[in-house]
Amino acid sequence: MPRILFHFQRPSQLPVLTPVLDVLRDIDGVELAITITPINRRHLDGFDGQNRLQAEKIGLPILDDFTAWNPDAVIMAENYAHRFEGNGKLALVPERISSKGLSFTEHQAAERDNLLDLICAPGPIHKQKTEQSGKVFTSVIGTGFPKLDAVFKEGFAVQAKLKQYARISPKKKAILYAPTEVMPLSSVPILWTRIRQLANDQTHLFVKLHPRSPYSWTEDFRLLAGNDPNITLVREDDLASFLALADVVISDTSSAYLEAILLDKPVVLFENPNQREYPLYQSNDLEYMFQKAAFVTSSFEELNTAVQVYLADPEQHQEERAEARLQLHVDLDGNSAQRVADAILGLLDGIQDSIVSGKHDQADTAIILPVDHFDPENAERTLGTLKLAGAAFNLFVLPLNGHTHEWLDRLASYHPVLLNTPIDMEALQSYQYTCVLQQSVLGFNGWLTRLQNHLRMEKQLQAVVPQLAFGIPSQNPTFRLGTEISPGPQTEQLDHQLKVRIPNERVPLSVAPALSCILIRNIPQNMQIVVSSILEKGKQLPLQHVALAMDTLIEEASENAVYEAEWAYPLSPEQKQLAEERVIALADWIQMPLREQLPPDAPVFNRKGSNGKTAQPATDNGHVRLARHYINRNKRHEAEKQVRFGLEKDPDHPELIALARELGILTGREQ
Amino acid sequence: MKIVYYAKRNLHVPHLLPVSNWIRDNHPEVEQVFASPPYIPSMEDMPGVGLNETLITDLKHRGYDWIGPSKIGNWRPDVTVMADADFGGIDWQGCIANVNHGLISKGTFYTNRQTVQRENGADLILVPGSHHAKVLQKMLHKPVLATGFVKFDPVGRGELTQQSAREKYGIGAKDRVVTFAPTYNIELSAVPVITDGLRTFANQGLKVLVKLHGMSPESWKQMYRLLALLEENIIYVDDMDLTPSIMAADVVISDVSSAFMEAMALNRPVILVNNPLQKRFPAYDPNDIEYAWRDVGVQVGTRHEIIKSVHHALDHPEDKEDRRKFYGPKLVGPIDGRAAERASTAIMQLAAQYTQRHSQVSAGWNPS
Repeated sequence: MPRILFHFQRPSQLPVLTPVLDVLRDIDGVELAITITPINRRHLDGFDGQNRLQAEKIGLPILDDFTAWNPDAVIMAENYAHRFEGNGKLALVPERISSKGLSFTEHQAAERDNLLDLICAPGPIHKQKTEQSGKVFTSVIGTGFPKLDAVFKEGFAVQAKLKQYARISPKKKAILYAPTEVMPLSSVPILWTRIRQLANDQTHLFVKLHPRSPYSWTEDFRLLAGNDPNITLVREDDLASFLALADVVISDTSSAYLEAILLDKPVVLFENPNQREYPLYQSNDLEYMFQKAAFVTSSFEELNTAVQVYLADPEQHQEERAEARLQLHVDLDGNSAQRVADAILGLLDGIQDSIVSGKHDQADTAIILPVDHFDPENAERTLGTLKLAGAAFNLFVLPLNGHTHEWLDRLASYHPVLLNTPIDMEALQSYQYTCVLQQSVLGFNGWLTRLQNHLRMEKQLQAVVPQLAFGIPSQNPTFRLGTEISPGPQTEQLDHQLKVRIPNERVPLSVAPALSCILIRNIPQNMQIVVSSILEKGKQLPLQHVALAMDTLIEEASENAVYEAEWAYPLSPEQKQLAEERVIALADWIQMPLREQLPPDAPVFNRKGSNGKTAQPATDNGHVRLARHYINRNKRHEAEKQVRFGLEKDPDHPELIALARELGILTGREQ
Repeated sequence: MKIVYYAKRNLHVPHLLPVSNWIRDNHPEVEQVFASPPYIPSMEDMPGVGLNETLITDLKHRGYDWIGPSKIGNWRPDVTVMADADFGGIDWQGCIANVNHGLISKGTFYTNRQTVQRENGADLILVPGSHHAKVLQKMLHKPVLATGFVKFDPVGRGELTQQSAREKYGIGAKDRVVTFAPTYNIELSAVPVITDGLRTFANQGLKVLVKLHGMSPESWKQMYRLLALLEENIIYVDDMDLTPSIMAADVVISDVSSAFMEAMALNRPVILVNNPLQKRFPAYDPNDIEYAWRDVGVQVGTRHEIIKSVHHALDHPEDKEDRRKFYGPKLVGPIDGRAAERASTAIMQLAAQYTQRHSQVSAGWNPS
């Protein structure tokens, strides 16, 4: 029985998602619940007590702790995927049909949509813009815009009836003013209340502000409406009915104007001269693409004239509107909610794959998994990591120092395609990407899909590595700051920034400490060298353009062991060994940004200047270095331990043998 | 009269607490509370916000109430005292006094750039030394007063000495101590230059105190914590306050951190590491004191030079003492244990003016 959670960020999303919810409610075996965001007055967002009553009317449980409910899918009208990661498949049924530099756009901000599993696009143009953006690789299905379903269904009230409901004479013309709330894009800061001049005995002006408009705007228009019987400030969230009753719609870049075009309403647009100041401004976004279906004005006088022209002749631009409708909406049949519901159920059934690359038989990634010993804990960890990959792949196991059949059996039971050493490079060439994954790595949800997306987005990138998890727990995609640390708008913002904004950034590899997991774009001439150099740890990576993917996280079992060592004083010899190696690795990593920007012979990094104890990484597993360290500090017992440990691993090591003699320890051979 | 101490970050508390303590001791009739924004720990390249639970508990143990920012408005303070010019989020009544928290410019504070004009958001600006007052008075239209460096009051009163500081860290009186106190920016810090090279000192029998800036990247903290576990002579200092680490030192290694200014003011020889990327720092301004006053220490660029200079400074602590004594008073004023008293007195005067004006306005007085 699938559990589907609907998330409502603000009351205006109720008309978008409720039709979908109503379709799913009628399907047996589907369990539904909702979650709402509490009011945040500073950000003019969320549900206050009164709005909550509206949500309660839906008649479904409103969950505070949705994770405990364990949903299979979360449906949202705005991309808040960062809040719901780890809670099943995530689907977006957009609240807007415009772009605003956030959705259906070529703007970089759209990359956050990669955190979703499915996007339900209102029209063909939305699907096309997303798929051609080169930034979003999530599945997109054209479903239509459920918010307008009721309007397109038979039996919806005619315009005259709607006017009656709105308490104006059916003979009176209705103008709907629906501006956006974004300051540099909105017409409000230019027109302000001069818009009142459009209202008179023959014309009624309805003002519908975006719910997130500044209070000062709402207050101004409230006063205006209070003093003029020909003006109404619309409080309801039901924009569709007011669009339907309007004779002319005035807007700017608001999604409302595109919705008006869907209803074949004449539209007058007002252009804010500051629109390019909008940080996400993108001149080819949807809100600018369909301006030819409207009058575009830049002064109140022009706007007034355009309104009068349309009132006299509403058929102007009718052809352009019809053309726009074909692109902005799939069938205007009132069945969008049904199509969205089908898509979501398809996603849950696995019919609708959430990954662009498709299923395992069409996998475009080969994962090479070097296995060097049997360790049940590591085996489970690796299997878990593979299950969380997200994207389809084929697995190649590379036994390094022998292996047990049990290990391979476990892997085979999960995935049948296994390849023993030597790796067949020709077989790898048939894949677009190769991933080298160390056995001790734990990847988080969707790690492979996310890494792939980075290579898809940036063609010059040759490889990409994920972040290591320790140190910055907030970047764990399943960890939510807002609930784990302290709730509040600031943590919410930070959470959003870490999960949505930063994930879209790729940073140079200089800040990545390990290559325990790396995804490489297959480069025929180099693959053999690349793979071998990754497997031989410490060898320089023969790739120029390698980046760190901020949205992808792994944990390393071996690294954790070092960090545990911090808290276990006094350190055991093994912990000391790990700590020594970790200090060297960290020192190298910290220096790397400087080293890369300076000439190679810059004296800053001349380690020979020190006592040499932490010089170049030791080739002897560190025992020689540590033994000498303890000899210098007159800690003979510790030094002896190091030599014994070293000789256990490599009884023929000449330096260790020499040290053993120096310390008077007899090696096994001499005994 | 009501005063709220609004600490935007952990590191502001040592600058606010001496003021609140002085007012409590001398004006017990004044109601005082601490407040801070919701806590967010610092992360890579992202400074933390608010006070952590430990600090809030500590304030409560000291007898102060703590309230969340949403409650400040209802509490109706007459004065909000802060240690930073970031006045964002303050939407309650009363006037604002800023006691500031740093000694240096970092291209943002105590500079002739336009950014300092945000200080005008306060009704009273208190700075440590005459140098700071001189710079700000040219730029601001609000009153600026030099009241001294409150963090040095315990030094001025003889409560914090080299001996007491060393005892705190388990260091003997005869030990030779090097304090490493770098800043956190990758372009400015001494950390990428020396990294684990501090082991050299440890192996030579010197005691090394590592006091990182609270906003340092986690990897830096991890490396020095591990080093402290591996080397007996390396001590990782987790204190919030830098001054005891400086007091314990014979020599201080720093970069452009205000640590070197504190060290200089406390007459400790300073080794100043010039990070090779220093001039690429976005807010680099050679006129800022952290660059203009570098003749107070020995400037070095490599690990080898650092090691050599530390030994020279240990053997010749008198070198550059004239420069330290020239710059020191300009930076921190007199170290007489009375900086908090001077700051508190100025704040009390401001509060008195505000309450008087407020009561007149309430009674129908029209200031115009």
